[in-house]
Amino acid sequence: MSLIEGLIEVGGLTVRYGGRTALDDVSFSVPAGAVYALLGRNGAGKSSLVRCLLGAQRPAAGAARLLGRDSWRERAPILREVGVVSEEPDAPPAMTVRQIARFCSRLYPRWDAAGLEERLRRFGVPADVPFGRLSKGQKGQVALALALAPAPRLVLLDDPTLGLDPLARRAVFEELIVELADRGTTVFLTSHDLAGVEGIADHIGVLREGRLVLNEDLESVKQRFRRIRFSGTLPGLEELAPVAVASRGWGVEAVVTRWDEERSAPHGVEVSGLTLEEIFLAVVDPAAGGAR
Amino acid sequence: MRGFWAVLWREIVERRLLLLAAALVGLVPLAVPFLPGVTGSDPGEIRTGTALALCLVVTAVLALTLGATVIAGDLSERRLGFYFSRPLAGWAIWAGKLAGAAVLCQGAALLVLLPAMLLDPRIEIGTSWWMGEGWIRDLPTFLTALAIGTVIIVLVAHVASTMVRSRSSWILLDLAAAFTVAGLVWSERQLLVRKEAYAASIWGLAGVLALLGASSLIAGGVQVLRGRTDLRRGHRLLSLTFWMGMGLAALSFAVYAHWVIEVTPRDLSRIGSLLPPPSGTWIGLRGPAAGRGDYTPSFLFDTASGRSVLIGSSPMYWWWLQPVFSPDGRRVAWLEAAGDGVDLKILDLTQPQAQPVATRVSFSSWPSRMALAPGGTRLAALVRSSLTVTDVATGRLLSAVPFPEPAEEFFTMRFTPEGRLRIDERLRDAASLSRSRFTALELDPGHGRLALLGTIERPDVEEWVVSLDGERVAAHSRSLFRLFAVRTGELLAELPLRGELANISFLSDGRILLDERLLDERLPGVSVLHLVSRDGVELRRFSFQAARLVIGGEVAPDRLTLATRIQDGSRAAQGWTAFLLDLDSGRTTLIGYGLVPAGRGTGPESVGPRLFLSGQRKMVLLDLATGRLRVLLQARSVF
Repeated sequence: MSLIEGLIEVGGLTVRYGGRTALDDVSFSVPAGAVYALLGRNGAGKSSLVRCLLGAQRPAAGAARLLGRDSWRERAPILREVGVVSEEPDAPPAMTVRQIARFCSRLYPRWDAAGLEERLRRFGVPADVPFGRLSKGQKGQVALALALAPAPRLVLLDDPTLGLDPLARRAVFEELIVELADRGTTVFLTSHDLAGVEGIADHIGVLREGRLVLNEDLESVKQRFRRIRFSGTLPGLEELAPVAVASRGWGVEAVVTRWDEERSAPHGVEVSGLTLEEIFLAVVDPAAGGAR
Repeated sequence: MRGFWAVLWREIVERRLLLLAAALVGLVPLAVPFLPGVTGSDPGEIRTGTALALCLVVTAVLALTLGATVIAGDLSERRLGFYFSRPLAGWAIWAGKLAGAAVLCQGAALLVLLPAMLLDPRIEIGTSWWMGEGWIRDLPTFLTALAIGTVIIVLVAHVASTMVRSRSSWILLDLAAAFTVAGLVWSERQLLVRKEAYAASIWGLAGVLALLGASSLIAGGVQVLRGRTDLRRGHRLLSLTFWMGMGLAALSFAVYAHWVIEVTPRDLSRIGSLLPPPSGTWIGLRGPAAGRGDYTPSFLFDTASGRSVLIGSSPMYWWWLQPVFSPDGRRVAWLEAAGDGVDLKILDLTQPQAQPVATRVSFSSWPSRMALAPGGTRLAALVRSSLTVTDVATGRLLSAVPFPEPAEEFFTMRFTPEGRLRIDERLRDAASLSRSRFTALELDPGHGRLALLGTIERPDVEEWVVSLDGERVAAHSRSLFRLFAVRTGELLAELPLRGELANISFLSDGRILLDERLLDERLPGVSVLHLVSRDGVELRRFSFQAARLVIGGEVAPDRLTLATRIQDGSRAAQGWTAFLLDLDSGRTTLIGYGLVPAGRGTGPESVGPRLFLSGQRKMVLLDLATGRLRVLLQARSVF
């Protein structure tokens, strides 16, 4: 499969662990300035994909390119312009945040020490406490502050809000929004926090059992996906590509994926929009997501 | 390089408390001399010894711990991703962490030694009370060896730690490979030790150790560069690389070990010892093999065909029990170590392609003397104060009599044509070295009785030389030649000399040659060869302008090889000139320069008198028909 031009280009990416296929022929592209959210259930292959993007995992087939370069072969040069927040904040536990910052500052061509200090102050994270003694939320905030300090062109975040309380989650997303507003940095993130993602993402991809089953502009997805309710039968329902159809006491409820915003709803059919979470559920688990 | 230095520095900073702990440990040796019960030695020596011991322990423990944790620990605890999500090259992560561990170990070692060094600046490793003498004698050598050892321990600990921490079934393959490699290396090492190639075994093991370090270094690098944060993939890559390297190391050691022991006489770097036969063309030969350390093989070598048989080895500085030829030159026998004892092997020299044959004769320890009967039918051996005669074909003990172990140089035994064992002893009086006694004994294996044939005691005899028939013995004094009848002790003849008697030798027909050095200051470089009849009457004399003279032997009746040297101050072979002397006419024929007779004390039936050595580097054979010399062996340079 040919790659599409973009800041992130993934083509035919396949990852196998022994006999198990974690990623199966995944292709997508993230244009510069976009905020791409990769969604999926646990074990869908998100972390494998992020590891491939970071050049930490060699794919069995296909390739991942960041900033126009192969991420496996040219990992180190690429990462000079990429900020990374990993799923588990993994800095050496004995080092203080200040020591970690000093270590990282030597590795990047640009380093915004003042910006880092400011973010840590805003997060309320003490700089002289060993990383291992910080709370999980603080570790995540430190990881985000370190990822943004080199003024990267691209930020990769692997479930940055995992295990965080609502306040900490909000702080992470607000920081990203500020970064986006200030510098227009391209963001690629995986997350289970669909409400938070919905607030910042403009592109989404959904992985199901290692396959990319949805890869689209978020607004377009929201226009295509609709919940319709009707009684009796609805002629032409199949043309709307329903992913879930459930019979209720009062009639039928369905989630359709080819709703045309231009056409008006037939008589007796009630149409409503879906949240990102509802769309996600309908895509990854139609049986659960089709009915409420 | 920026990434490498950043990782290196981070490792040191993160573990800086280890250095503090090492500095505290370094204070312990200062207190040791004052501890109760520590007495008797110099306090400085106690401090030094304690500091060195602590230094070794601390460094080894640190190297093991750091090696096991710096990469493998981070991987198993999922912390290596921190580095891989930064713009750090894989090699910088691996090399930086490795160098950090090495620097910490070396730093800790120095800090442990520092207080003792400040008090006793000249640490003498070799005289340390606990380390003894060794090749590591000074502090710089000690620290260099420690640094190399530390890096190897760190690397091997990393490899082992990765294998264990990955919790993969590959560990079973690792264990199988480890047993295979260790088994191969051990068996090859044992092979070298059995062949007494001690230096080669140490060099071989050092090579394996170096390849162990190199394999670990490369395997760890491949693991980090290609396996990155995937511990199991990293383990697979590490194992494949590491065991390929160790397999190569084991195979290289095996090839090296076989190269060392599969030698021919042409591999000798020096012809150290040469044993001429009483008859025939085979000789015994021994010398260090080129490039093989102290491995000193012994051969039987046929000067006629060039065929050789490897018959054993031992370091050059060790005593060598020579092979024994039967008096008729038809058989040669030698001993080979087997288990706790030694076995006798024999070679039929009458068959052109005969192979060594194991006999049923064996001993629990090495005999100090052996003799083979004509035809190789019986073997006499002196072992543990017991003189035995054994039938070679059946291994049956024919006779055994108690016999005190004699001094090395003054004891010979041989079988007579009648099958009895003749023993000649030359003993000096323990109380007065000026008194010397010659004793001739005979053992009849059939009856097991040791009979005294005769004994002669005289003052100032330096050497007793027995005639070939064993009936006469010549007493060699400084300026006096005397001839005695062995059985009666009767003085048959006496010949005072003007100069110093250097050598006495019997010719095959019973006549005697005396080599006299003239001491007259007006004639500083003259040797006189006296030809004496069987009954001790001087027949004629030959003078040579030479400070030294060496008699080779009779190449034919009345024809003798010898060599002379004018300059006495040098041992260089170039000073020697070899001649053929016609005893009848007194005419000398030049054989060549730089040649010394190699096969002394043998007669015309033996190739010995025609053999010459040139500075232990070259062995040549004189062709009597043409007068030409043929090079039989040329020693090889070490490199």
